Amino acid sequence: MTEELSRTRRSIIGLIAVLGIFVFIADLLIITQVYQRNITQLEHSVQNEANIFANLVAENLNRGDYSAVESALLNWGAKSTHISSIDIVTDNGFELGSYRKPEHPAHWTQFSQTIRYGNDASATIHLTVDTSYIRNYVLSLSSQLIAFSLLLIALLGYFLRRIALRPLNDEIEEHLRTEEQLEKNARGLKLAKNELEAYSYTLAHDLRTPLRAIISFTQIIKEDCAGKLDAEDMDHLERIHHAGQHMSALIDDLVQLSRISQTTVKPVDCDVSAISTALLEHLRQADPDREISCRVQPGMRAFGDPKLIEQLLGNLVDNAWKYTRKTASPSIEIGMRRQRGVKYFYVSDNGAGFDMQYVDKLFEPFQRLHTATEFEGTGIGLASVRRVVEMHNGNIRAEAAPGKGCTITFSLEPAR
Amino acid sequence: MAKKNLPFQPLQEVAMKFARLVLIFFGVLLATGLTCASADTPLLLGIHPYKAPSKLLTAFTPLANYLSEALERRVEIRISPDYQAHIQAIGEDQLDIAYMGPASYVALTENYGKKPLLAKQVIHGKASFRGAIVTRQDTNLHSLAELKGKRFAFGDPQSTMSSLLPRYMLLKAGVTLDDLAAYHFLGSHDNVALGVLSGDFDAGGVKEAVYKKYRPRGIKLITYTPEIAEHLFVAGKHMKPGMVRRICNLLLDLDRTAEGRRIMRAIKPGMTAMIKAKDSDYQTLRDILRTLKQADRHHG
Repeated sequence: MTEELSRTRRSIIGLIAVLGIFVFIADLLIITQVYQRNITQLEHSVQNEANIFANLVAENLNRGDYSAVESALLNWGAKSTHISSIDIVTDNGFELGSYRKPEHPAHWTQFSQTIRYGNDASATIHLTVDTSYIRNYVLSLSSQLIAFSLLLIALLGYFLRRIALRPLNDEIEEHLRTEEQLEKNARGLKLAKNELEAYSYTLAHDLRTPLRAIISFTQIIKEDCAGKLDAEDMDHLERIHHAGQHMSALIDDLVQLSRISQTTVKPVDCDVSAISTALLEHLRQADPDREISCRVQPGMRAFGDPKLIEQLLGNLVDNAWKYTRKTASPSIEIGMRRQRGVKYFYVSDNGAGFDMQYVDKLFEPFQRLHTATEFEGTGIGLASVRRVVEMHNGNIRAEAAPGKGCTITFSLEPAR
Repeated sequence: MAKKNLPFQPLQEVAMKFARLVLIFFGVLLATGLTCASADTPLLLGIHPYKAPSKLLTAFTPLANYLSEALERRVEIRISPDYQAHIQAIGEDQLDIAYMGPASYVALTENYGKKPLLAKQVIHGKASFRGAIVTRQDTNLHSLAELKGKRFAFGDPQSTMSSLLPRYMLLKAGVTLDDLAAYHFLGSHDNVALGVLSGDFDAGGVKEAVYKKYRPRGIKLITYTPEIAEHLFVAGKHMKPGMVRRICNLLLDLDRTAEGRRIMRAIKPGMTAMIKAKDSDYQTLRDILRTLKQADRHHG
């Protein structure tokens, strides 16, 4: 918007400049024309005067009255306003008469006129004509013209600005107002969200203490009353204990999710391959009986927060490890590919998979596509994963089919 | 430029006759006036018209007043209509005092005999003046004999310095008017100098003052004319010797007082004194004019 404004402003300035040059050229033409016309008029009138004077002088010279020439010359010179000097020079170079005004003009032009007299004698009148007054007139005219032109351009510039920039300015103001409103709303939303998250963290944390008592005392009863209670009562106790543990896991995951949300991203260059390998190794040590083929693409690097990335990958690798438990020859693959300059990492397994019609629920918290009896879990993991990806401005998606495994693909940078 | 006959033309003769008639008329008036005049009959001071009448009046009024006061008699200024009429008026004693040029004086004596001379003027200490035959500085002319086949400029046909003396000088050098390629009367000394400078004439005759005036602008001297005695005051023959002597002394005394010098300066700026004049002072000019007349007669 501002760019459009400055572009419009630039074109207005350009237009005014072109107009200015055009007006300047026009002024120049007018001034030259006026000057030339005045000079021509002056030349014409002086030429006429000179003709008349030449005839008068020729008459005097024909009579042999040479001294009359000088007085005629002085007379003419004194009467004429523009002539500043007159010289009459005969063929042999003798100056028969000369007239000079006391002050030599600052600007002048010269004329000559031949006088023929006697049988074939001739003399020449040399005239200097003062053109200062024409120059002064033209100068004052130029200043008036230039002042007028400048005024014209200034007025034009002002109106153009008003006409062309006003609507744009209005629009920009409107945008700024909207933006401000949106920001205000966003601030409010963020505040509400933070409050909510703090609340859920506190809630989760406070739930832990009574829950721990339930689990512990259930465990004690189970141990103390083993053999005293019948099988049905023991099963009930077992269920209470199991439910308590599930709830504890749920609370842990909730606290983790809240923590993630409250973390600020501190991005650095991370070795994704190394993190993935370490995570898989950790799982392998925890569950050494399982034989899983694991492949990690070497040399994968990403720009992101290393702790968050570790949590993200941990969740995904945990899932892959978990959902391949019932597969005959399980395999997990962690890799990366580039698409339009963006790095897309993926964690792929050949485990249980799921029906793609439920894919929308996949990344929502507390949503599960498998029962707890099939595969244990809280439904928080993928929600955390999505949260981390979003905090890096990345994208996440899942592809799966029931019994044919699942591939989670994510990026840690915005798509271009 | 066509040649002209000089110095008299039929038109001038007609004018002269008319002027003579007018003067006779005035003469008769004067004579009748004189018969019945008492002691305060005004003294008539005649001036030849070498300038505009108003200027002449201004120039000579101080002198007239001076004489009038000294003589205790009214002095009136008369400006003659032309040179010829002036000569006639004094010749026929219609004027009491006349101011005139040397050529006019010679003509006067030729026609009317001698008159009592009062005084002649001294200009810058000199009682005589001369003319100059001039050419341009860029010509190779050095003598009058070389002017054969050249163009010559004269001033007024009647002018002593710019016309009569140059003709005489050319004649002496063996150059007649017919020997000249062209000649023209330009009316004034200045015109002659400017005509020569402009290249329209190869040489010309001017008075010395004009030659000196134009020398810086490129004029060169071929030769000076003989010296001619200056302008003079002549008295009428009818004037009593006592009166003539009184007027003569008054004029000669002019340079003694500041007032007198102011009077002279009014007549001519360079005038420094009045001195005694003799008829023989004008013999040179008389001879020259006779020679010219003979040449004309011979030619005609």
